[in-house]
Amino acid sequence: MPAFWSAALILVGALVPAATAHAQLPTPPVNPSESEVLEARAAFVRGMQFGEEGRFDDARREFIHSYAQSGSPVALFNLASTLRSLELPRDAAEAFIRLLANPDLDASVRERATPMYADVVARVTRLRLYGPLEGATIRIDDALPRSLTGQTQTIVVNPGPHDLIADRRGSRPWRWSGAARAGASVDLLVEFQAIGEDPTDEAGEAGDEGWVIAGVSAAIAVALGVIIGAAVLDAEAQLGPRTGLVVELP
Amino acid sequence: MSARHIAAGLACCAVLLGSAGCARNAVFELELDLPAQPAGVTPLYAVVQVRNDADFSADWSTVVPLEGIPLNPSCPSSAVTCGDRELSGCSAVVSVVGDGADFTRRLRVRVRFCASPSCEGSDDATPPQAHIEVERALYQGRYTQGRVCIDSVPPTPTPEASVVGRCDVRCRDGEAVMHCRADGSHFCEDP
Repeated sequence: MPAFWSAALILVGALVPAATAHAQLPTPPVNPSESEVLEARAAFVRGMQFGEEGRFDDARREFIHSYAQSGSPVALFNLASTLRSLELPRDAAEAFIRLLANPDLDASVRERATPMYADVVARVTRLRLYGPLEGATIRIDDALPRSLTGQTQTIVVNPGPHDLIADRRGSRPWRWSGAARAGASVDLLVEFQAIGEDPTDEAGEAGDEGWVIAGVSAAIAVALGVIIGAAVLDAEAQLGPRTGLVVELP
Repeated sequence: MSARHIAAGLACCAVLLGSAGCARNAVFELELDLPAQPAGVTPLYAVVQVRNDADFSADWSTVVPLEGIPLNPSCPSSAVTCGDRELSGCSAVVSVVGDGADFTRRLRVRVRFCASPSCEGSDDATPPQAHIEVERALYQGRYTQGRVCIDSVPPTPTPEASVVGRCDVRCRDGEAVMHCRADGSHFCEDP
């Protein structure tokens, strides 16, 4: 390990309020140029400074940049440690996994990283999905949709609130919103309702009972709307983008 | 009109009475499957611009581009049909937000493949590009999605536009192969 990196190992141990951002581990260059290494070192030093000041979000940004430029295991270690301190165990685990998968990892770094990895793995939240998942996709918060297979699947997330939307062709989306604590496992039954299965879906299929339900629902909706309407800002009713790349048409 | 639609409409109007709160806007999520970085050339960025007030022959220099998306060195096989591909590290999802007159306008997307993220570098005078035209992307109060796969960096700065038909735009309540009803109306429209 180069002298700079070996002298720069830090352990960011303080607990700070939970953050909600996702860690996106970058893919560093295989053979970083001299300028990239210099830039990485500068970012690393800034990250250490931020860490010492308790500015862990800023430290994370710098360590990500440092790792992206250099691929340095020490930068990755400090990134993982910072994510751990930010109470983002899933993201920290991802970084530790990549770190520990490096067969050339310095023994001292491995020795420090291994128990930290065990700690964060114990603190992730597991969402266990059950149901007809084959062919469905699931979107978790703002992340890109991912495919589901089989009848059960476990998704590892950071503790805290999450929004899930599962889609399957020909069916209505399944949605879940909720919060889960660190180390918890939450069982979620995913049920899809085929389009057209709901008897109130299509014209002509709704019987008298459907109309009664619709009338009552409408009356309740009107009452609720008048009561809460004044408190709802117009802007809040607008659809918001769910991805990071956004174009607002003029 | 179904009972569900009546109830939904009344509920929406109830909120409208109190706050003018029904969503007037719409969001189209353009799923771009980008090509892999070609070997042996300068690293390229996909620079996306979107507009609905002019066609591709117009001057696009005033259209603010999104920050360039670096092309990934390797991407999943392009042998899989575009609509059946999973979103991957080579995918980018662009949310286009519009309202009012935007709903009926054709949406045009220009994807330039540039040497710099801003596409303003010295090598970016006439970058290769892909053109995408969406017949109708936006429906009031709805999220919609459309998928376009660009399997390789186009060889030309003046390509033919790929057209995403009205019934190829997905609505969350739509079904997979066709997103229009038998009568031609879109699932995002009231029947």
